Amino acid sequence: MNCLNFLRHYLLGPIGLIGLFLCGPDQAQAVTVLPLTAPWRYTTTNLDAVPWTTSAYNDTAWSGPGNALLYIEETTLPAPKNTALPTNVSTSLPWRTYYFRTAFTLTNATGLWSVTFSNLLDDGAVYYLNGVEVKRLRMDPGLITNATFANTAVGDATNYDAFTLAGSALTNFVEGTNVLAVEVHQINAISTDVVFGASLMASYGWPDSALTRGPYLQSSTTSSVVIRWRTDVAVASRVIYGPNLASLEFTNLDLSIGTEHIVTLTNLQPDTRYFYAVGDAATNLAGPDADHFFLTHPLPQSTKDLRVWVIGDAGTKNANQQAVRNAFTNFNGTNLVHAWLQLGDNAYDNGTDAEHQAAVFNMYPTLLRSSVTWPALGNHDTAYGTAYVDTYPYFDIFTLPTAGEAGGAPSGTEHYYSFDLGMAHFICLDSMTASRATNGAMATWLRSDLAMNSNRWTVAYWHHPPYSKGSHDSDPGGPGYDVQMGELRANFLPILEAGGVDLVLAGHSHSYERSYLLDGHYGTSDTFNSTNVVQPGSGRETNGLGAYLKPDGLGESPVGNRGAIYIVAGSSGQVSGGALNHVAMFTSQNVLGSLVLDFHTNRLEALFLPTNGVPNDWFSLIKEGAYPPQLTNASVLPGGELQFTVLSRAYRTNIIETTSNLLVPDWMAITTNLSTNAVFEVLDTAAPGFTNRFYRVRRP
Amino acid sequence: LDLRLQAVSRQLSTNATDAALWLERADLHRQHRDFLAALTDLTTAEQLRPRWAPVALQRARVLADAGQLAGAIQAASACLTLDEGNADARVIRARCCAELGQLTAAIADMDLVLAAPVRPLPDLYLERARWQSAAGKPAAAVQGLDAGLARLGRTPSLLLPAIEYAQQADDIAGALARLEQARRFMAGPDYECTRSNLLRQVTSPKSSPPLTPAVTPPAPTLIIPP
Repeated sequence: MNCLNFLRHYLLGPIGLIGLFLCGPDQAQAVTVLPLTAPWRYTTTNLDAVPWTTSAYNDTAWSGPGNALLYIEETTLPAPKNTALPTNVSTSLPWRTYYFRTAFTLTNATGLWSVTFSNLLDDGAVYYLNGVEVKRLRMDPGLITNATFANTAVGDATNYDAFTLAGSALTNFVEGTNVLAVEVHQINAISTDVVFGASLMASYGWPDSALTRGPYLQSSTTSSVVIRWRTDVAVASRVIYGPNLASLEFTNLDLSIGTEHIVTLTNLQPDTRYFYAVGDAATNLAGPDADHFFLTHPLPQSTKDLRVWVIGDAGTKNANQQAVRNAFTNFNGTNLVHAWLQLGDNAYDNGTDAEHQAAVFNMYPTLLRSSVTWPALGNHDTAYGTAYVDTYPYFDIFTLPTAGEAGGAPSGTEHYYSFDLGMAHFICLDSMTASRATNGAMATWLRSDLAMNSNRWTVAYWHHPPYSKGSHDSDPGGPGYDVQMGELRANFLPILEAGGVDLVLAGHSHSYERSYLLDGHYGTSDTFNSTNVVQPGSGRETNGLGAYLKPDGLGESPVGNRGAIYIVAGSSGQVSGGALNHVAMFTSQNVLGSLVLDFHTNRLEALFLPTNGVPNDWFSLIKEGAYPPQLTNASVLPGGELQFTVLSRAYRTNIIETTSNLLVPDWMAITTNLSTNAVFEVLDTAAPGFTNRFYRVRRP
Repeated sequence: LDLRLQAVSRQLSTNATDAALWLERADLHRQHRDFLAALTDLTTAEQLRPRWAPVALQRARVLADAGQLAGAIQAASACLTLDEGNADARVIRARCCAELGQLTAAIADMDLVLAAPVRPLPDLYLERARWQSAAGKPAAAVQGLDAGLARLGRTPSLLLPAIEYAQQADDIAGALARLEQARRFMAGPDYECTRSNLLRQVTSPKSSPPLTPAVTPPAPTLIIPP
């Protein structure tokens, strides 16, 4: 018994798996057993209840043989149109159903590993091998008759439909002559075209596969993760994994054959590092080693420290993108990256699969295999298309939550989604194609998602910035203004701010712009005023007005409308200048770089990391609940007055009290301080004459 | 957008016979709301490649964006003649019909789009429900949203409007049942207010004034000194 047959017959149990790994791969060989231009016999006669698919059926009364492609079609197709099919003379349109038969010879049928069909087809079809149905394309389940229509239209058959039969689906192939019968159905009675042709390639032995993409991690939760990779030839998918690198105890094997591998691992423990390897049925293609691991998310109640990397408009594929990546890699060292956000325009110019390969998969291979990326859709990822559809390559490449499986409300679509990462809730919106109306599905979903949220931190991100004076001006009529910017600002910021969002991240402008702590600014920049500033200053604890402060939801819903920081971080692949003078911004820079977010319990630290590796903007956002004020630097003045410094929090009321006896204290207020600064001086003019004087500061 | 427009224009200056490039530039003009330029480019594309469905589709988009609804419907229909399964054209035609008050036609087109096996987006179910409600068929709207929920999962985007339409259809029990399903998607006061209104409707005529949303306790005041 060769390895293949061992696989086919015994792979259902662990014994099979052991045997499989002992065998190792055979030498692969691929043979075309039916060329695309092969001759077929055909008929339009209604064959309901006729055994026309069997090998024994006599088709010599049919038309043909005629070489494929067989067609009624004006459009140029990817292969020669060799045989014109008849129309229905009474309608001058194609018949509803066409029947085709051909034969091909197969040798070494027992050694078959897989057979790949490549078809040019308009519209739907059912395939039969030696009398047994093996595949339907665009045909509903259930009884198929001459009157059955396809379920999906094909505009023109300009793309190949490929499928592969493997494993038990190969049972009906026989040594020698095989008969392939196909019925092709129209989408409806008025369809004007029909096309059919198929080639078959037989593969013998396990193919030697190689990775061409990944592995990369997607859609992680507290108990699951998706691992994806791509191979050069169609093979099975296997992941071995476990928390102990020396002994990976779990295996997930999917015997379906393909080049695009998507494996979901479930029943994982939260907040745990798992090591893994991916491969085909027999061979590891990547891992296991210390670089191949994933982290399951901490539980939402956790106070686990988190690091998140944020890049925007990164996908230039050039030295700029590399420099930004390298700066972060050096800065981060061996620290864990719990997630990384891509703010759109992830792959220039048109978001094709090849561009994603170069701009994402070839650019960040190390990070991709150990950290989950959560992308947003940018205008270049749709090739500027605004159609609200799932057909952009982005949606084939990324696996994103739709059912609330990663936390938050189910969106029902990958266009916009949310996820929980420990104590932080992340919300990704589609600013490019989804409805931006306040009564649209995305807005309705967002309200619910925020209503459900009780995480300490809330971060929202999408591509088009609500405030920017970079390469895109967020004011209508300004240079580079896009309608998405104004609509997101007017329609979505009120929802987000009411829901207590802390950070709003966007790209699109190729610059770094960072706001003060803001609330309630939904118009153009000339309507911005001081009432929109919840807290001015740098947000830096060590100078100015200190860290930005917000009340903590303390396990309940976040407190709404208490300020959010808005950041444009679209310079991770290029810089494009602009006026860079939006009044809402504390800083605006035409500098390459990326954003690093560190969550420490009630403290969020953010910094902008340029390519020189030296942060040139940073701030802290602190949620109330901890961080008590302190008294320091006490000194007695010449008149006996006592002076000291209070380190507090800006915009907080502090009551400073004193007593002369700690054993029987009679605390008396000497001042109530409403501080705009984190550091302020107190003078106790009543101190002269006391031997002991004790002080305390408290919040009312 | 401007840069892309310039780039495509440059390509056209050296390759003026590529219909796809004219088509792409037309879409860029459309996004720029330069509809006349878009239509001119589409005419060129059509001359280069007659009876090409994407040209008709793009013309429908341009005309729809320009508010030329009848023309958009005509162009979308032309696209569907060339490519009967083109869901984009059907959605555009449906939306234009709805804007013109031709709700039956709009709903019929959206029915076909949503019947296709390709996974639809939530907005399409929502739009159809609005048209059904406007056409005086709120029960059909509920049914359609339920179909969407069965297909896309229990997203609040569809579940919350279903409550409203069930209420419109005087199916208070159905509305209450859906409200309970949606409870985790709603802020407490919103849930309570909606429930109270629904319960009032059980015992009172529809004309009873609805309750206003419960007042949320004021947030703690942050004192900002002058």
